[in-house]
Amino acid sequence: MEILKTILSVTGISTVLTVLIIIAERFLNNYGECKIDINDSEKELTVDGGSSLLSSLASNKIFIPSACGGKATCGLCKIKVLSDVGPVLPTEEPFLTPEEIKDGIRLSCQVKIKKDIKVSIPEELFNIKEYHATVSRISDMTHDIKEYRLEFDAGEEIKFKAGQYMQIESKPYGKIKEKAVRAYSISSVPSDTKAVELIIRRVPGGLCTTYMHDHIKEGDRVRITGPYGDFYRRDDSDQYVFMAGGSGMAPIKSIAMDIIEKGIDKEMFFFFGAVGKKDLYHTEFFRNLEKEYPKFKYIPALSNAAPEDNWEGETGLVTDVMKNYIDTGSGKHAYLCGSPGMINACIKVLVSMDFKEESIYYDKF
Amino acid sequence: MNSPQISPFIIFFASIITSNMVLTNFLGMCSFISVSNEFKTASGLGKAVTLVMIFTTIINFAVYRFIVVPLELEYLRYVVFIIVIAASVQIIELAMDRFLPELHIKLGIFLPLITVNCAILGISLFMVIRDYNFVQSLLFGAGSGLGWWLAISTLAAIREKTNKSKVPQGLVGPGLTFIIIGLMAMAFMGFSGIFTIQ
Amino acid sequence: MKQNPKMKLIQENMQPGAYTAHGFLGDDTRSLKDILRTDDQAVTSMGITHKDIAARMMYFTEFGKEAPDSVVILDGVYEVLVDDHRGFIPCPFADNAKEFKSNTKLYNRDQDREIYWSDLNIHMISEHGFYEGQGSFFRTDPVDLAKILGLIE
Repeated sequence: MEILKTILSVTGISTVLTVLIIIAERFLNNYGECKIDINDSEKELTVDGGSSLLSSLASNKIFIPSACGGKATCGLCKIKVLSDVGPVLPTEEPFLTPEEIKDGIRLSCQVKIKKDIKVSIPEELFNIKEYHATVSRISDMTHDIKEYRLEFDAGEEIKFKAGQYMQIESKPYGKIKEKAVRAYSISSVPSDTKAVELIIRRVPGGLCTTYMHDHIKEGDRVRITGPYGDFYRRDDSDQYVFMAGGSGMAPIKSIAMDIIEKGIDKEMFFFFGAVGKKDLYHTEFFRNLEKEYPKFKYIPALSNAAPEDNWEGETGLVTDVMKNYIDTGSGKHAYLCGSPGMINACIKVLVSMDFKEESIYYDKF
Repeated sequence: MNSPQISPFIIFFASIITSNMVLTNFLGMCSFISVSNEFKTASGLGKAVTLVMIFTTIINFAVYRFIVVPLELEYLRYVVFIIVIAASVQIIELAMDRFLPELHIKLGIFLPLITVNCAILGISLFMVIRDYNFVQSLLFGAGSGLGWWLAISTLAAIREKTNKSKVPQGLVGPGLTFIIIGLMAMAFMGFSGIFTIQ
Repeated sequence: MKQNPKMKLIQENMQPGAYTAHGFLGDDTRSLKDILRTDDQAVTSMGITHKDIAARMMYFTEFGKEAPDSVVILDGVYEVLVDDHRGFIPCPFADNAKEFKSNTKLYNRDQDREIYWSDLNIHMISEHGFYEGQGSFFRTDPVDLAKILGLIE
């Protein structure tokens, strides 16, 4: 009898408390519906609380640039928040200046929506749309670079500035259970409005590049958003100096073709850095471009050409080769695309040649 | 039930000053020493402990009075009290994750460790041993919590200052902390005699 | 045992699909704490520190970065090949650190052994003593690493 009483009372108390905990969790983890007020009631959205501002806006077809997919490494998802959303998180601090914080600028991938919120979104971001595209062509460029042509569904068209990038969403595969979002620059020209072409280089262990290289074939469907980015051609320059390596050729190709199409009469130098001949691609395309438009010069530089390459072109690092053709930076713009290490090296050399820092353009991710 | 004839307010003040849980009774030492590095975090933990103490005192009193005693299960009081404390801490964790997420991450493992903070079990057991009635228990719980909060905040403030000074190598960290706590305990002894509840 | 919420977050960041395709834990079933502790003991018993190993790795990587994507020979014994990609990879330890997507392949001619690491591995070894879980794509065993790098016999 004693034992029964003991067991029943302890069990009874535990059960009551467990129910209390479950109720508390239901109540505390459910933020309910929250309203997002955009640009002073220009647009009002009702979303389920608990997600980040970035993803809540995306599920309502408003896309904010996020090259890193919300992991707080690219700092591109800044939004001006006009209501109180709590203190700035340690993950946001490296990307915000004190003036920005005072102004209410936050990383939308880190701001969690817990109650009604007021934000201000610049008009040009409303141009960013979601596209469902079919992979119409995959071409092998080198042993680790592929070019993809993604054609939009009927009726969908894109308006972008040459140099901008798109964000691709990879689907779960293998051991990976979530989607990932990554950014890739557009290599096709803006006048081609019904599709985009992307040049994607395989990153060892990379989430999205592995997906694109190994799990996507012609005919597959891909969800992409865009166009994003501040990397596009500016008008006020006497001469354009382009420097790229690896998959960085993509936006340069787009910008160069766009300049030629629009008949802009300026000199262009495109320095492309690679190791050996096997890393060059689109060589014929650029040589033809040179013939068609004499003001465009394509200068590939090989840092370690193999003897069997029989290479007669420029050798060395692209930063050294560039110095043989460009003497000063005044009045000129430079457009860079490649790995962060390569970009830093190029900036150093360009600045030492009197290129103004504001005239050097590159994607910061 | 023979509750002692002491005013609840005397119990309240005594539990903060003369019978301070950590400085007089030496209960609740582990998180007291580990989380007293930064004032803000220590103060946050102090508030959490106070809340848990008040919450559990009320529930434990009710459970003891209406379930344990009538069913003559006094020998189960340790088990029952710990179950109640564990559940309360779980709920407070959820609430903190919702309303104060940065504090939740800063406290880390020490938030769930409040469950085994002996000061909290101590309140409930003292309440039973000394036969306090409801009001006395409530103010005892509140006062003990505030006393714990006062002690850890003071220690954190002192440690923030000593962290910036030169300390002999062997005493850095726990060594100096123990000495500081000892000195604080001796200082609080100066209050003894004002109120007596134990 | 209840996990520290920060450790829980770090362990989630290390799963495949969070930051990289393979994740950082491989098929290791041990907890992150145990992985760190075992590797820490291995390093201490060699008489060196994590920062020593990381500094030596950095020495080779910096040398290789001067000639990216090309094999360079150091001291006649080490063949170094460093590659370079666009973008950054964040550190899963939630410390706001991020590294270039750059990988170093080192071949030791004397020992006929090869080892592969990323810039992020150098950071994780130096700051967190983390060599990745067993079976992970970028796992470097501390003892193998020290031998191939020439830190111990």
